[in-house]
Amino acid sequence: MTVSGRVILLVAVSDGDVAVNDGGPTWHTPTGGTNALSSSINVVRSAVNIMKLWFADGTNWKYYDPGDDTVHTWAATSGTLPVDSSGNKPRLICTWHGRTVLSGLIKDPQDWFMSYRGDPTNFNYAPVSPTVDQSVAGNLAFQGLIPDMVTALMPFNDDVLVFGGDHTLWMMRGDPMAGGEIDLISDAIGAAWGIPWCKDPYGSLYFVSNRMGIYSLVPGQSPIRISQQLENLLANIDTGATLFRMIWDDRFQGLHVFCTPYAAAARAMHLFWDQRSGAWYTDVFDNNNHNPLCCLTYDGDHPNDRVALIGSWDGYVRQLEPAATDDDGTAIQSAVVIGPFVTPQMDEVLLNSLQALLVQYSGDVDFAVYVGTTAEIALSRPSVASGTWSAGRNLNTYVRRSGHAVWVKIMSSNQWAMEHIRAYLRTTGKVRQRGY
Amino acid sequence: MPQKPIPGPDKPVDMAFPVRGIDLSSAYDLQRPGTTPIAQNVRGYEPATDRLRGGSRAGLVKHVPAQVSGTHVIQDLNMIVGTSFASPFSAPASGLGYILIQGPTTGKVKVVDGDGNIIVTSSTLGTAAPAVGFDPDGFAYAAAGTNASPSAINIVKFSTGGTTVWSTSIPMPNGQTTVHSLVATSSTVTFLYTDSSSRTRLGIIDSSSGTLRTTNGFGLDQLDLTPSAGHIPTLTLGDNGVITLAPAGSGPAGTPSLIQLGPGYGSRRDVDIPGVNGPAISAYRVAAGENGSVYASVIDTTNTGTTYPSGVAKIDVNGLVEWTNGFLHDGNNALNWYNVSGTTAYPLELAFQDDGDIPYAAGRYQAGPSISYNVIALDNDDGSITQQVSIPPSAEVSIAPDPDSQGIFMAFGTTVDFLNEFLAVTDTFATASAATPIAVSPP
Repeated sequence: MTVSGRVILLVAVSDGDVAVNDGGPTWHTPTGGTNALSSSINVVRSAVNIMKLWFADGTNWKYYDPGDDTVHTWAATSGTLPVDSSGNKPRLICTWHGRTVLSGLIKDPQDWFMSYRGDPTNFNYAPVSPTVDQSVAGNLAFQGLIPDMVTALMPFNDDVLVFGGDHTLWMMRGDPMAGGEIDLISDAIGAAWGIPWCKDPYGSLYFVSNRMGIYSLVPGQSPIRISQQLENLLANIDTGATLFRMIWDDRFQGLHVFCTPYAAAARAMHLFWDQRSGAWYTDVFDNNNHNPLCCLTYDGDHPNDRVALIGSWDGYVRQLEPAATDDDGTAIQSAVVIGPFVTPQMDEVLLNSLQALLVQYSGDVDFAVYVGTTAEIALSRPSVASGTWSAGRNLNTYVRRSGHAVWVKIMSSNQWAMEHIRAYLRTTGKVRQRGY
Repeated sequence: MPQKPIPGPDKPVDMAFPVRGIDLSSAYDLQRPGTTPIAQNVRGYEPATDRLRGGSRAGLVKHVPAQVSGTHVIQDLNMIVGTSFASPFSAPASGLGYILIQGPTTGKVKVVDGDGNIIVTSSTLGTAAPAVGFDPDGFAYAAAGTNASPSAINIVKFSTGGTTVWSTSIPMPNGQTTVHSLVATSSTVTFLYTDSSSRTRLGIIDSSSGTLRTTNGFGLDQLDLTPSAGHIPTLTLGDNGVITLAPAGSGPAGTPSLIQLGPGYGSRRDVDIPGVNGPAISAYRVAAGENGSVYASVIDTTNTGTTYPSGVAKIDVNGLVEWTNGFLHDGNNALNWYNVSGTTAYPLELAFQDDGDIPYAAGRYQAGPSISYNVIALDNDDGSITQQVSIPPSAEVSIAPDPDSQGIFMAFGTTVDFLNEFLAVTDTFATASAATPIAVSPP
């Protein structure tokens, strides 16, 4: 028991089964948890309200109550749970202003449905005695439908719920039963399907757009594209075949953008944005099973439990662990290029030697030197020198190679870190400068 | 780095990690300072120490060692926080977990469950008692060195069901090789050994495959340690992968009492623990605590007379002594810890239970003229004793956290390294006094 009496349960869905973990080494299947949800889809969504977990898988009405450790059928106590004309159930869910918000009906894609505040089983839109807390739906409310297919529900705070559309963004400002309005944020930017968003602790919302831009958004302002440096990498992603998830990682003070092929475990390139330095990095898991379709910022009591979790294709829940030297047994193939070394006078540069200072715990790294008449050509050519550096202060490595541009690449399958590298350079004179 | 003038021949230029990350939006020749076209699986703030100097990214480990539902994809993750859930996770009535019992002379090890059932007995691994440990997934490891030509370190991994997952043999220089201690994670097994040239080193192997990664762990090619009988250097694994090592034997006045190693610290760190009788304090056992802290059992070797007072110190992640107990704050009064047999001092054993943040210690306890053998639970904030139970008289006690987070296990015997009985103590100490020790013959 913690000082506050706080109990944290991690809930996972796999093969349609609901399972619970309390920090121990095993999963527990609650009563009714087996085959509770659809096993024919790869993603299920859920939202916590009144200390219960409410699921939306497009097929079933279920919720998990940890009070009696049971997965119950989600039935309406008043009104009717929302379905479309073919009986399809919602696939999008969130909790906003005490309401459980549903959307994503296949044959009613512009509609949205909000439960009674604090009662996700009450979907009575026309009670005998109307109140500001009562249930409300887009097709019946004066705010109307979202003028676009709803692709994401992004609760920002109690006053603002952002609706991601296929090619637009909308904002419910204020509770709809208390005069709230739906305002257009952008008619040029939409949101990818599902939960392609996250929030940082400082009041910004981040999302993947319908056209593969990554944006930050503070309600009341226009979205700001923060992926400009990467557009070339993002442009080739098939948004119809890829599921996007974002997660704020407080340990590393940045956000992960997971871009995982939806159909099966396959190679993927993910992104990490370091908020402190504004830097983007690409992440690749060499084991395709590690590419996640779901993730969670887990907020446990123990320092080791305040981590970013990912759900894997092989049925395990994994965490990003600063001390882990590999990806659960699979080596991490890391690489970074430093440079180019060029001069304002476009001199030819002679790289005489390199000396590396790696940190004491570092594993070995390989390095390679690339030279060329331009930086672009240098990077496309085979390396002209290479070697290995180890932890601590390394001996001088003589390179003695020249070019108008010089790059140094560091590669490793070990855990490593560097202090810095010292290069000894000189220019080779005006004759070389004029040549090519 | 681009556009940096290089006036004159052979000028040194610092190449820093491109901490501003990937930028594919500029000309190659005009790559903006601090950016790069390629940065895969790396970070500017390297994860182990959070310094802005560049390194590989953090890796993945299993958060829960078991699969949710076989090999099916995880479809959703969420969490619920509350205070009054009906717990489906009540403590099991029996079978609290498993314990490893080392053969003192046979070089074998037994895996025993909480009811005393022997799961498996290993083959002969070496010529001394193997070093043993569990990883967070519940797999057991044992390692021992041989005295042969050629010499070797033999390591085996068992499942708790008794299946041998893998075994490996690492060649060593001819002569006696001794493995002193072992800690395991989901990804690596780190072991401390002394080879035939009396060099003490850290070896690291891959825990999933048994493949040797290095016999030069953390870049240390030789540790200044002198193992001696009864004083075995100890490794322990803490938060963030911190490996802590307590040296063997007692040093002269002013000798550092604790050495901490590992990715969480990045380098060796020495800690002095002040004692009332002078600075000649020797750390004997260590246990990892929360937030990178460690607990050390220490003995004041400068004390005169027939006893060597000892106590427990808590050291925080910055290497600062947070609290001490026993003689360390009370002097030689009624709350002293003693752990003495004749002129030979034996260590206080330590363990830390994550669930509840409880440090435990075991050993001989003296309150005035009364001597008893006890296991105690300490207050994590100040080191005071919160609970205490008696155990049968013993020259040697070994304790370890129960893998199921229900308390601790302990094993004890009548001679050093002859641990032939054990019992489980729950975290409430409810069963300890009434429990009958389970006798298990050593392997």
